[in-house]
Amino acid sequence: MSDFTKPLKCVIISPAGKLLDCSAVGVTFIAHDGSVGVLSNHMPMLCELGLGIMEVELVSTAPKTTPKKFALIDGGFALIHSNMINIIANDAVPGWDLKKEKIDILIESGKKKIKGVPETSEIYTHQTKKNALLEKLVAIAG
Amino acid sequence: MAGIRQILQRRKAADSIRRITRTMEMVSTAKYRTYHNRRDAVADYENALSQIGYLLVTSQKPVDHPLLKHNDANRSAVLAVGSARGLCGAYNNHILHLLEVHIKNASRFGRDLDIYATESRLLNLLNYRGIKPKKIYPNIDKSLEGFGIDEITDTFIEQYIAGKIDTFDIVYMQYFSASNQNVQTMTILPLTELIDNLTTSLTAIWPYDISFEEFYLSPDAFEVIKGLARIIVRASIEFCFMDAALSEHLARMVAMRSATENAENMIKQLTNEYNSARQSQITGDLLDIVGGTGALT
Repeated sequence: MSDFTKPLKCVIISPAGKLLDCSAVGVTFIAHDGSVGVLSNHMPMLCELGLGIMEVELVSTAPKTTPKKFALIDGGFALIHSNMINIIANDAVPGWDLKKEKIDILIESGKKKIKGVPETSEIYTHQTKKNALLEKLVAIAG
Repeated sequence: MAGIRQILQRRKAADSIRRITRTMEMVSTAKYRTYHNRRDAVADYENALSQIGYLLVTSQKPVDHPLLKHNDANRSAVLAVGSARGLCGAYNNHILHLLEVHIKNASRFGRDLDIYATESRLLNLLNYRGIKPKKIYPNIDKSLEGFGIDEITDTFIEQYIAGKIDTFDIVYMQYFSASNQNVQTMTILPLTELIDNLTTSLTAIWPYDISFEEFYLSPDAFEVIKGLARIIVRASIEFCFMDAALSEHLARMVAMRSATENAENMIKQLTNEYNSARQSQITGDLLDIVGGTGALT
């Protein structure tokens, strides 16, 4: 039987650069069609990403603790192979080193983007959901 | 010899020029550093996309997608990226020369060529040569702030899928290092050529014993390639624009540095002239005094 406790390498890359490169026990991300959980020895997979908060369970140094990292991912691709998960995101907001002012600026710019856009449009729904998720990220990771 | 007052005026003018060019050099240096850091950050993203692209084109069973096929429309599109502002040496002339090579080649082989350009100083040169761009896109700085790149990506992908163009190239100044920038043509479409271009710059193309066929794709291959192709094309266009902006600021930095040095040399020369004119005047005045005293005694 496979050893699921073996760590896997998790890398998050966005146009702003490499945001995370660490060893993880498990990773949960939002794909185009729902949530996907990845442990070690996962099958090779190339998957389109959706909008959501991903969770990285880090390898713990202290017993009975599972430190976690969160990041908001907006589109892109996840490439899983050889105990390695590469998240190539179109846009990503890391939940670590979060600054409330930065999140406020992001939410404000998001609101500006949808100013005058009909509420039924896809862009409006997407941006509104993204703003709500940014607030949720602050609550979870902040 | 010019009068003392004229020399002083010229020295003052040269000093003003020196201050302006020095300030412009500092502004360009700051912008160059900003773009350089941004380029380094984007390089990781570009490498990751290139690796997936490489996997895609090396699949044993060729993937059927319009962006991976070669069209036969006998028409090409070229986007020329000039400098957003002037005072950057022969930057735009280099772009123009390569663009003219494309025009000559198209006419030699009887192909139609659509020329597109960014809002730049290059437009003056194109206008002078009687070359009329089909469409003008926002300048480099605006594009890197998020205006226009999506439009360029979608326009040319649509044209390629509709079979209206065979190739889409970008003529721009590629940044290799701080001492080496060259004007280049990057083929963006067909996608196979773009991926070929990108993978040649990678150190490790695909260092794992796993092929495209072994991956579980979600959604299906056609949809994955559709999404992936747009991201790769968009990122490549952005990377070209970033290289062009980086080269522009570097070219302006070099041009302004040499202008500052020239102004400094001129100031030195004018100071020498001023001292010698002043000394001649003092000598003349002393001779007058001595002559006057001699006449009185």
